[in-house]
Amino acid sequence: MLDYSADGGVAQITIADVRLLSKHDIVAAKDLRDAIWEANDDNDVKVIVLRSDAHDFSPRVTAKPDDNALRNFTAFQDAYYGPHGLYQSVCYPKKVVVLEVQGECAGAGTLLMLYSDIVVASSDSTFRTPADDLPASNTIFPILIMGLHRAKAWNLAGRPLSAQDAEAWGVVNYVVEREGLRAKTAECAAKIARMPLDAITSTKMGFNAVADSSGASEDFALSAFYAASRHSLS
Amino acid sequence: MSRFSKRFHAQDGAEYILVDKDPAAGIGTITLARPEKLNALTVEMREYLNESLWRLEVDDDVRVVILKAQGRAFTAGHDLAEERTWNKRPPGKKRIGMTENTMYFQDILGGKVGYASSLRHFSKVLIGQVNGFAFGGGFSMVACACDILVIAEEASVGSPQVRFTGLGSGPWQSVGYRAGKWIGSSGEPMTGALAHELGLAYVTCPRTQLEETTLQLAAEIAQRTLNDVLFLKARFNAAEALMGRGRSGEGGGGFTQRPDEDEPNFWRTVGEQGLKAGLDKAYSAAPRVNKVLANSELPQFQAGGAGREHTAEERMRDRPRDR
Repeated sequence: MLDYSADGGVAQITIADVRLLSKHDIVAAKDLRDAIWEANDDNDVKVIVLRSDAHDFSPRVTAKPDDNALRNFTAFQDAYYGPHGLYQSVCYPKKVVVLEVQGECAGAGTLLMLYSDIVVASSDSTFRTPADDLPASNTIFPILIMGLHRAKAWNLAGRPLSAQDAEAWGVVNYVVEREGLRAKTAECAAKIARMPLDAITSTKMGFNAVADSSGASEDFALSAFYAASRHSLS
Repeated sequence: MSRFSKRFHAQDGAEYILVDKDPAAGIGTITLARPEKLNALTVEMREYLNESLWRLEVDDDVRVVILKAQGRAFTAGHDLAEERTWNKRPPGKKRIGMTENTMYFQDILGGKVGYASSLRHFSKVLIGQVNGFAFGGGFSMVACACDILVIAEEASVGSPQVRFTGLGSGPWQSVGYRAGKWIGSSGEPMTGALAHELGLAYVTCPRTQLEETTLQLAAEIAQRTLNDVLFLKARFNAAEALMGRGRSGEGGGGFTQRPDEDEPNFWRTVGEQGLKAGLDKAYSAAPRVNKVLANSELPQFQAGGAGREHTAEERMRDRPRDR
């Protein structure tokens, strides 16, 4: 499911198929979460890079809210949205999470993009709102990242965001041609890895506190409720 | 019996608030129709707008609502001459009572069941079609409350009233921390193009294409099912609540009633000589307003007081003595 390596202060996690996360696959979520936890707990690691070798980082999966996941709230919440879940593990580690995106990015891929700290994208990337496919997704982060009106327009109009607009809106940090993507990500990760570990931890704890004081944790806590509500409206 | 029926009748606002819908398209339309007064909102208009929003919320034919305006302005905000009347000290009283103040600023305006709250918490998609001037409450309470703004490049929007009232936290979430602080600190207006650049407006286009562009976007969104729309909007309304939006607004009425000598001076001048004179007298940033508005169709501010701070002597001379 994934490949993990760590060297020079940078942990690299390559996800084989992000679409499994969009389908609420419990095992896939726990594998990725465990890998992030391992990097988070390793004092030799300062940066966690998430990527996929697929042509498109996260193609859209048009599955509707997962009946199985909703039947078992505890497993669903625990694997994905709860305090021990995948997405809060991406949001709240004490290390810097750098995401590399190429091509289509939808569903769980867009959530990983919204919850990561730094995003490097190829110029042919597109970002589809997660709200249509994953109703449990957190709404606070889009508002914090792009501002209330842009977040609303992105979600309500449903038009995918181009890499260029994403850069202009402050959604991604760098946009480069596909051929230069890996090198740009490595450059970012190396730069961050030169920072003292305590400085990284302090900065991350500060940003995490800002997210929490903005209601991010409360919105995560309501995730299963949101999913169930959407399901009941179908 | 309707709300506030001992004071006024919301139905009196129906002449200036036109409500329509296209059930086949799933689109409702609210048109501000008082162009001769730049669509300034009277109390009756605000309450009728409030009631119209409530009706559209429960109308299953409607998934998207376009809020637009007739004439060259979107809305100049609250009717200032009327606001002066509501703010008037009752005969024999030393000051306006807190209950009266709360009725105006909370119950009618920005409180939980006031019209501004109904705009902000609307359960369906609300698109603001901003054709021109959106000023004061017309900017912060109406335009900023819309989910998505389609704005004419030539439009001019802003909050010069921050001189008296301060600015709530709402615009910060839309234009960012720095730009929000600048708006709140300077009262300077923005062009439509700048509003788009800062992220407040989703689309900007020449005024001649505004209607068509807005309708196209509304039709696109109206392709969603009613449940889709209700769910997505409920998520944003919940997120805004979690983020604490509205907390500063709830206290706004109290803040507004600080006995700043500028404020009654402003209302009095507006009541006696009109909006232009009030702004000329009270708004020291007028030259910059003129710069931004240079290419608009709006009247320019030209009074002698523009461009400089009033002297202490002038302030004392102009200080209202009857309040």
